[in-house]
Amino acid sequence: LAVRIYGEERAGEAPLKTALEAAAAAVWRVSQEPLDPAGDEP
Amino acid sequence: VTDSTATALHELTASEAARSIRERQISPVELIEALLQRASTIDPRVQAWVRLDAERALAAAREAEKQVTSGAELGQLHGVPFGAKDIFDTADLVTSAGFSPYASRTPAQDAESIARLKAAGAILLGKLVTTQFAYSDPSRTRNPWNDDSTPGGSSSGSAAGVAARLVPLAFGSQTAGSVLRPAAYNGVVGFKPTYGRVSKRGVLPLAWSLDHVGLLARSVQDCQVALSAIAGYDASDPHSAATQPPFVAQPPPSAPPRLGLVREALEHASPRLREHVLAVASGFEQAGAHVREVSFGEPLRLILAVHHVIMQTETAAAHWQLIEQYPGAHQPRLRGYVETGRLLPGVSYLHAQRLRRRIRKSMRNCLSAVDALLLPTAVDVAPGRETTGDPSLQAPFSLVGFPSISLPSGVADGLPLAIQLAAAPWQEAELLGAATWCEAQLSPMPAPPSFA
Repeated sequence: LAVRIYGEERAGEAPLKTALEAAAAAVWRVSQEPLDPAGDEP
Repeated sequence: VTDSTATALHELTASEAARSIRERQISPVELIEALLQRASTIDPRVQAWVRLDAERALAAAREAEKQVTSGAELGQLHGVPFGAKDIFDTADLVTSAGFSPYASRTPAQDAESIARLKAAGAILLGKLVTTQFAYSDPSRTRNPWNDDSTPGGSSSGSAAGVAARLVPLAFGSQTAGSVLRPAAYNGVVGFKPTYGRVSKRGVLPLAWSLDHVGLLARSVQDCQVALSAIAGYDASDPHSAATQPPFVAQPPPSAPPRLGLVREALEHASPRLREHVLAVASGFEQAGAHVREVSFGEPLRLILAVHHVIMQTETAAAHWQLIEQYPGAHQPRLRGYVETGRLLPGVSYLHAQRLRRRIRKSMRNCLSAVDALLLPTAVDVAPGRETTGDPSLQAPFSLVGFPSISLPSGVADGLPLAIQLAAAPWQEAELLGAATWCEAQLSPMPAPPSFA
């Protein structure tokens, strides 16, 4: 995904990879937590 | 100013300085001169100040001195010097946020919090180093306890400056853990009020719904006095709470507090911090406090994931245009964070915001039978300078907006240890009361050995 978005040159940058991995983990964890679809808006 | 006088003056807390000035034991001019002299000798090593405003501070001190001698009515912090993290706007004084394109950015107005502290008589001595835009790329500031350890961030200069006795009181800001964690790593008090309690007008944003104005000082009393000056609704800040109950400073409580030891936080901390906090809690119990174990009611990993999704999305929204406008000017971690933050789905952000509401309710329940939560401020002592440290144990309170405070509670391997207390929203008076009681049970934190 990083290569597709940022290109070969930047995809290997450590800060970018770290941020992407942390974001993916957080998004995944949040998505595992069900909420009532008819529940309150944020 | 003699060397011996200067040594005594830089050790004064903000409240002690205010009292000494009011009672005409010291002059605000000699206090400012002593701190300027100290900056010239100490700061080349600590690098807490990014710029001093010596001329204006001295002029303000001379004016403050005249008011003392004239018998005028004096504010609570009359003549007391303070510093501000360099993301707080200061009138006619550069505010650069560690961002080179802002090297000459000079606001016309003070941030509201700065204006209110000045209205209470305090004198702005200068601006303190921040990590770039208050994110996590380490700054140049050193930890006064150990050159090889991080001072933490993002309020690096604020915490290190207060610890090194360069200034008694400083503004910081916290989006994840940027006030309390540096406070813990540097052995000072760090305090974050309820979200919406203190205006953020004139403070450069990182993530709007998480950013808090906070304070660094050397006593709980100083936080109480400063909060009295800066708290309250501000119509010019959309995040300021219009319906907030007034903050009224209370005398120290007569009864020991009821404290809830947070299970998830103890499990997440290093063995050293876990044992330390359990020992501190045991001491509090022996002194009369009621200590019981409580739970956040939600997994810590979930709380941190929700915080992450919200913070990264909002940071990306606040900063992506600057990255395009000034290519190459951002530090690598902030740049990576913003660039990847732009990819986070809107659905995830809104789902995280809905979960945030549930987490807030659970954490409110966690406080139902206690006056304050008790937990380690940080997972361990300050790590090396390649990082600003781990925000895992401070971020939950930034997420839910509850007030929290870090108190220095010991030293291990030459580095400070700290406990954290947190309370329900708008319960700052109760939190500071519990913190005052706890502070009185703990041994006073000395100055860092090299700067005593």
